[in-house]
Amino acid sequence: MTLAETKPGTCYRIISIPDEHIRNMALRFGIGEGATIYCEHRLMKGPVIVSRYQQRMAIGYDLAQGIEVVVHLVGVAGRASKEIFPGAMDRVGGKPQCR
Amino acid sequence: MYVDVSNYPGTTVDVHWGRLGKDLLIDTPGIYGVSMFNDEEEVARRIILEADCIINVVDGVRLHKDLFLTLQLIDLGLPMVVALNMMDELQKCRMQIDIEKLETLLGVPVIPMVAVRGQGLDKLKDAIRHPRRGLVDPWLRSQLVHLHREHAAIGSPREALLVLENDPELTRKYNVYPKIRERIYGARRRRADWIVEQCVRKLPDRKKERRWLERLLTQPLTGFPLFILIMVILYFIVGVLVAQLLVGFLEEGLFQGVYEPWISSLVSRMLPQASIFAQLLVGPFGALTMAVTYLFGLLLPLVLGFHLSVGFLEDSGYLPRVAVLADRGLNKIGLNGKAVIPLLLGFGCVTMALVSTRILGSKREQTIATALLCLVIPCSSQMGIIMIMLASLGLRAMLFYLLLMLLVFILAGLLLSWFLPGRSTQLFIDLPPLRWPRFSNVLKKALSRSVSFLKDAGPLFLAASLLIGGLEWMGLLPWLERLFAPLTVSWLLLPKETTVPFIMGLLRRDLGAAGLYSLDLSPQQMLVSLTTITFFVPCIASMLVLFKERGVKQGVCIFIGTLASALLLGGLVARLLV
Repeated sequence: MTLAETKPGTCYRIISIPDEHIRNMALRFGIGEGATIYCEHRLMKGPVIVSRYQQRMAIGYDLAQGIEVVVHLVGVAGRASKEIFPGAMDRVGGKPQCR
Repeated sequence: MYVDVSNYPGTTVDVHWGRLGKDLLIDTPGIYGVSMFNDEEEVARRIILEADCIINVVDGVRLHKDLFLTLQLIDLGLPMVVALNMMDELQKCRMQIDIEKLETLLGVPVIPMVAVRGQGLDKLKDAIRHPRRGLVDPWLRSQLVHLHREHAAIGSPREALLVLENDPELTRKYNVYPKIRERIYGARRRRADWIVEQCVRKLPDRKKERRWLERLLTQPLTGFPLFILIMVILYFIVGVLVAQLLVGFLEEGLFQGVYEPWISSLVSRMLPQASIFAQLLVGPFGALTMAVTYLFGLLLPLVLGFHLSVGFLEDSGYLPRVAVLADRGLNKIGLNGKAVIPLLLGFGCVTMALVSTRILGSKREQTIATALLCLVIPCSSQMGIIMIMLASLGLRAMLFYLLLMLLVFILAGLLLSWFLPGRSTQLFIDLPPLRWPRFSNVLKKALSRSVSFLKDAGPLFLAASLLIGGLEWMGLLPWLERLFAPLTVSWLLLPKETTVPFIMGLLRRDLGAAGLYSLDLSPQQMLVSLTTITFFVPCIASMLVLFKERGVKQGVCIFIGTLASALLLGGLVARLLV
């Protein structure tokens, strides 16, 4: 699926960013292929707001349509997720937070 | 040295400098990396490569993002100091940074700071005396050694790294085109992430993080009404409290009631009233009467009020949220949401806003934004006078004026995006945290910008009043009014006396608007003259920046385009209202 189709409140892992220039810019911002991001909010046919650590970014719709992502699975129980993805997710203050 | 900073990207797009003892201190534009991805990076890159020492200011809360640039500066082999800022916000976010470990992993001094309160400044000044070169990635070091062996002509390590990162200027200079930039960036990003994992600890939050405000501001259903509400509040502060109440007291009560009679009697004791010098100084267009009253009694309070209001918006972090809201609409006219920043800044000062178009991603977007700024956006001083005049015309006139501006904005944007070649970039913007602005910072910025306004506008007002005063004394004003009558009287359906304000408007639009404000016009004539002066040519300061930023050819096209559009639209509105 693409970033433009993500659901707010879910974590995703970035699979690919096709445009080389955008890939390099994204690395500077702190996200790259393989990074996990949290979808904060999505405007219909508009920008997607994602966060990673304490940082929030807004990505335009056309750009988000070109970024491939996959759901970063947590599992129903927090303990199970840590066994599958050690250190990948922490529950902080009751809300899942992507590293 | 005071430098404007704000809670959104693009405030510093120019270079500021000052002295620290015998040393020259240069503030570069804010960047995410050293390359030539945009104009800000190009400017910063040149300064960084020549510097003896770098002070890298890093946001402690968003360390993982800023560490990319820090590591790039370390890889460039530059002696540096890291100023770890926003330590107060770090505490509020219940985060901790192991500063000693960070220093060890980077290999450079790290000074914790809260810059707005001056905390840590003394330690920073000491640390600058002993900067260090940091720890370069061993894999990258081997790549640099390999490059030196293959291409001995590449002299410095700084240039070598930039060649490996495909710097366009240096790869052309040495005729070397490596293809490992992405590997370098990927390795640097992984290193930054690893350092953050080692040094940063987040303590459990006592309460859940509130994201509702973010959604409220960026969802169209709530975001647009909130934006309109904020603009109405801004209008009330600037257009009613300042423009009507404060300006009413200052201009009419203080300057025209007390100051002008006093200065006229003072000058008339020294010079004959009919002499050219007396006319130039204290005549109807006198340098000591009209120019001073307009500058200090009318425009300065409006400009200060506007910059105070906009300063709150800037420092709150709200403007990037407006960019998110506006992105979809701006895409239709060849721009993205980031363009909202220079467009909104243009309501403060078009000259400043023209410089800030550098933050836009392509020349095409910069040209579109520049043309819209010159054509449609009135600056704060002009806007203040327009608001006073519109308020006297009633709500219908105000709505008509606003709708007309919106229509021209959309039409001009569509035409430019259809006919200008090239591609526009997509929105990819950092959203700074929402925070209560510090009043002291907002006040300092507003005062600094108002003083800049006085320095820019003062000499031009003086020149305009001397020019018009001289023309009046020589009896040439009636001749000028007859010369331009085909435009002002026949086409715009305005009295011939409006010629002088429009000539003044060639120097500064706010001066032209002020001239129209003093005339006795009917409501329809006032609306026509407001329409014309809004779309009129940019002021001289803006024209100079326009020629510098966009070149002579584009500058001339925009000048002729705005003049023709202003006269055409003014005439059409005149015929619509008759």
